[in-house]
Amino acid sequence: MLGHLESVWRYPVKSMRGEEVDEIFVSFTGLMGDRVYALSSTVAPTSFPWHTAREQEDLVLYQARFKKRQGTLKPENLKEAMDHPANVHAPYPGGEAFAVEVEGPGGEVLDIADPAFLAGLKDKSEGDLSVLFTHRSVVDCRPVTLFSLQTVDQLREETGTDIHKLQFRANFYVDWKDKGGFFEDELVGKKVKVGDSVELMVLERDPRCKFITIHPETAETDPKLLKHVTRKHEGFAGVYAAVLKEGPVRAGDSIALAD
Amino acid sequence: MNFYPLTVSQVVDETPLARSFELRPADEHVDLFAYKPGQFLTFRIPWQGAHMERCYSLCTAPCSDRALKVTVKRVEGGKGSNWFNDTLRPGDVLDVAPPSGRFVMRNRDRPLVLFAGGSGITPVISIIKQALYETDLSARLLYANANRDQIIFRQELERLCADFPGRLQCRHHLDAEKGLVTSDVISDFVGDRLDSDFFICGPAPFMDLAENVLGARGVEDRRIFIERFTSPDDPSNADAPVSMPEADCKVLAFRATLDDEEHKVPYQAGQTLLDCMLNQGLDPVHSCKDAHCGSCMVIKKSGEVIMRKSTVLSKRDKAKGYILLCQAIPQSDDVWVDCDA
Repeated sequence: MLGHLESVWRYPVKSMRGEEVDEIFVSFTGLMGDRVYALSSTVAPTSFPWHTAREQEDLVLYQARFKKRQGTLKPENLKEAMDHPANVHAPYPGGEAFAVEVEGPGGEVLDIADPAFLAGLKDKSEGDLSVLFTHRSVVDCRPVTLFSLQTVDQLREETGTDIHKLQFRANFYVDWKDKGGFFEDELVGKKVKVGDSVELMVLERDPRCKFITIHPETAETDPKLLKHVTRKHEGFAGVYAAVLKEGPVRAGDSIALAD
Repeated sequence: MNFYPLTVSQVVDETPLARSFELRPADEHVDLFAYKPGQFLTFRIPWQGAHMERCYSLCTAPCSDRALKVTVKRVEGGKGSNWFNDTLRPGDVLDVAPPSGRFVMRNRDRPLVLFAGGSGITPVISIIKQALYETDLSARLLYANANRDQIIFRQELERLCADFPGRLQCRHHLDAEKGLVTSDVISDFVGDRLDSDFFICGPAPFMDLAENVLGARGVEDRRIFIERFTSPDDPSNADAPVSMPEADCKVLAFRATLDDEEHKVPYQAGQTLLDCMLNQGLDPVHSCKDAHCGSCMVIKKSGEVIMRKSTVLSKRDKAKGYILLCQAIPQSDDVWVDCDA
């Protein structure tokens, strides 16, 4: 065993505050309910059309919540699908099952589909915003991100700053126990098994951007962390993975090299 | 950069490839669109569900024209120029940022010699009108085009020559008849008028040639004003197709604080601050060079820059003075950036 899942996180709306989950279904396209909403902006590049906390830091202070949370953690027929001899997919429920409300920094709560929600962001954006929903996670590059507590600790030591682990917005925070920071880098190109069923292929190191400079509880930024990661770690921190075998994972699950 | 709605009030065919677009701001925005002859407007153009930005110089002058007008010549494969010519009709509304640019008359005590190529005539004719209407200065224009059909503003130039006899001389150079403009053509046109102010706008090789000839003739850099419009590095990249003018003033260097040391960094036209620092062996933190990662965010302590793209910067970053080294083009000779901030 290499380590275990210290915590599991999904982010219902891209760039907004995430939620910790005890158990979640991991599909080929990412964690169920992860980044299923995103804000797109008319002034963003077409290749990356998202309005994110890079352009509006306090988005990380907005808390998005699924209105029917229980139904967004695992597909209803997961067991039957996994037991099927042809290894069929477990279908997701329709979009209405993923309805989300958002609590803003001032405590106001609005349905994400309420026009008043976007109207409240108008002054904070340079372009016109719209809300996109998709069952598929709107990740930047790959379906799953993995980051170790040891890497957080190493960066804290190297920079002498109080870094919050959620600055890295990973899905899986991992405790490698006796291994050092950035151990996850050594897994690039390898298959790992998480819990009883999920298999990941660790594809590449995660190239970092300004987002990691934003503190998740204050939305204050410290550009020095990104400069440090760029200079000392070639701009990478954490790893991206693809999902080879779907299934549920739980916080505390073991992580081991797959056969 | 803030954008405001401008209504297209008239569209005029200037040549088979170029159209002029008269624009009117809303009454409450008229003051925002006051301008100096030679300046440009930045347009936000709808493109594939998003927007791209393009800059086009005003061909009008406040002293002689009531409306704002830009003239856009089709460029093969050019997204912005073809969109203007194919799409815009009277009554359409465009998002436009107020005028800016430093390709303007600086002195009122020296005659003007102007070189224009193709659609480079747009800011040049604006400056000519200012010189004629607002001063007693004389102006000489060398205007190069592929052939006679491509001459933009031919009648307007003839009328200006007639209205201001002896003060405006206009020499047309047609490639179809005489071949491309050569250094001899430029040098001959300058003659002994080396104490003039020189304005240049047109295709890059044309501008480079004119600048080199003037330099070789001993014209001081500070007497040469150039308007360069560049497209993104990859013209097929629809993500950030921002055209923008490079520094028309002669920025020779900028100041950079890096690792607690002060550096005077030579500036080369068309390059970003980051390029120039790397050329000097300096290594400020940077990564993507595409305004995406934000690792080259630095504080601008003084001076003016324009950024080709600034997508990763928030309003808050901009208010704090952050710029991106990989996108910044200096617009004044007092630029100072702090890379340690």
